[in-house]
Order: sequence, then structure tokens, then C-alpha cells
Amino acid sequence: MKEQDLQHIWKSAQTTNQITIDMSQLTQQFKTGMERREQIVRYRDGRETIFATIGILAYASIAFYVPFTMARIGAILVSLSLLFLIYKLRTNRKSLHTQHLFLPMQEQLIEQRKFMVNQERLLNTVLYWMALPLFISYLIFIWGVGDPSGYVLPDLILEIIPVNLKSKIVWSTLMALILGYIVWMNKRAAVVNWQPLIKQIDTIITNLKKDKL
Amino acid sequence: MKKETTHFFEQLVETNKSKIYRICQIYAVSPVEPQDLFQEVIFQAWKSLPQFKQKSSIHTWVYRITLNVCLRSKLKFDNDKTTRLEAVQITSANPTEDDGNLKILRECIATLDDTDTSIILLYLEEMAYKEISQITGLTENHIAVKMKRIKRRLLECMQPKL
Repeated sequence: MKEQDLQHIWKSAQTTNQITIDMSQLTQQFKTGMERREQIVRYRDGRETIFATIGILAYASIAFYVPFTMARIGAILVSLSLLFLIYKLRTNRKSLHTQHLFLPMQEQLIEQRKFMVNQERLLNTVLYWMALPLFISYLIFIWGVGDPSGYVLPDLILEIIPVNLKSKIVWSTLMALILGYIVWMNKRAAVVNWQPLIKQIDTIITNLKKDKL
Repeated sequence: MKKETTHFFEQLVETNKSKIYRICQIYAVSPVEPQDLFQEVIFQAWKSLPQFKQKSSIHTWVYRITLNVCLRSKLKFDNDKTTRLEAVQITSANPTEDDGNLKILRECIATLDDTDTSIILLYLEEMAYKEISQITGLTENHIAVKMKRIKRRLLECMQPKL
């Protein structure tokens, strides 16, 4: 067998499949089927942003009404922490990830790897850019709340703010547990979702670079 | 998308559909079907067409997209389910006498790693080393060295089976 025979055998595959494409339908179905799939990814990216925006508005309102300076600073810091969270999520969102599938294979693989490493780092460092700033800000807010009896406050605010020692301890512990769980979940996602992919793409890149003179 | 672009895209798909599908058949691993990969390639080509700058030939460009999509599917990067498009219909015709050899060739290609597979597929599509270099991003010399080893491996695998 000669090398050219390989090409002949390969080309014979052309005759074994009939591919029919209805062009008038195709672009329409791209819009209804495939693009919709990408919209779902964009929606997933936006979900956390929506929740964080609600949080920002809520804590900004609290900061406006609460008469205690320390609690007001805490509420503003919570809003700022959430704003930073939105910034981090938006600059690292999956739908923003450049696909550029027309790039040469090596370049494309390196780009994919860069994205994966970024995602892994983002998940692994969630303690520093999300949990700690939010927790510290929240503690300042909770422990900054004083006795509201001398002030006229909206009922809703009075219900939200932890006034006595017991509720301050309960809310601080609860917040620590929730944020601790989020940190653990993110670290787990980095190990389970991204690390195997990075390993896999590293192998592909190494194989591609193999045999270099 | 403009009418001329749509027409250009239609011609592009018509000219390259068999080549694309042949490559997709090699990379498709259950549960991903060759048709799913084929659709994805066509979709990505359609999406990327406005960014085609004519720095490379359109065929080189199509091969880049095909191989990048196929490699990405191996990475199981996208967990989203594929939408099967009715506009694309693929049917297997009657087997030809070459089918036996083709099966052996595919089996032997399956023993190669993903990057060697990409390179040999481009060779089988009768592409010059220069074009393969433009598609993979490797130098022509590098391709030549790789090709020598891959062909030897492929022939060693095939000969006893023929």
C-alpha cells in the first residue's frame, strides 16, 4: 500500500453519504435553534447579576434610611462589594469568551486554555473577591446597628435590621455559613469542572508541539 | 446578513459539505453524532463569516473552523444539548467496495491522538503542507516531521488488516 492509496480510500467516503441542506430553512433554523441555545448561556451569565443588582438597591436603601453611621458605612460597603461582584462576573462571563474558531488550531487552543485557567482562578479565589469583602461589610453593618428606639424608621427597615445581640450573632453566623458554603461550592466546581479540561487541553497542546525540530 | 453574503455562504457550504462531514465522522464520539458536529461547524462558519478577512483562502478558513469545533467537542466544553436542525438531512447511501478499506482507515486514525488526527485528515484531504501549516499554526517543517511519523504509524496499522 502506498501513501496515495490512503487519500483514495479517504475520498471514497464522499460517495457513502448524501448530504442535503435546505438553505432557505437553514439560516432560519440557526436563528430559532442554535442562537436560542446561546441566549440561554447569556441568560445564565446574567442571573447572578440580577440578584446582585437587587442586593445593591436594597442595601443602598438601607444606607439611606439607617441613622447609625457605622451601619450606614457597612450597608454602603455591602453595595460596593456586590458592585464589584457584578464587575467580576461580567468581565469573566462565558458568553463574552471569544470563540474565534477561525483562528489557527494552535492559537485557538491557547485561547481556550487561557479562558479555562481564568475560570478556574475565578472560582478558586472567590473567597477574596466575593466572600471576604461581603462578609466584612456585612459584619460592619450588623454590628453597627444601634438602638433604634429614639428614631423614626420605616417598618420594613426595622424588621430587617438586627437590633439585639442574639439576632446579631445569629445573622453573623448565618452569613458566615452561607458564604463558606459558596466558597466551598466554587472551589469544588474548579476541581470538578475546569481542572480536568485544563489537563486535557494541555495534553492536546503538548501533542501538537511534539516533533518540533 | 446581506443577500450576497448569504449567497456566498450557501456556495461555501455546498462546496465544502462533504469534506466537513468526513472530518466530523472521525471526531464524533457518542453521544455526539457526526451530524451534530456538522451542524455546529456550519453554524460557527455562518456566525464567523462577517469576520472573514480574506487573509487566508476561504477553504483554509473552513478547515480551521471544522477542526476547532471538532477538537472543542472532544473537550466536552459545551454541555448544552445540540439542537437537531431539520434543514440538514444526511443519509447513508449503498456501501461501495471501498467501504471495507475505509473502515480500516478510520479504525487506524482512531488510534492517533487528536492533533495527529487533525494533521492526517488535512493530508487526506490533499492539502499542501503550506495550507496545513496555515490551519494548524505550526511551521511547514514541523508539519513535515509530524507527517512522516503519522503516515508511518498509519501504514503500519493498516497493512496487516488489508
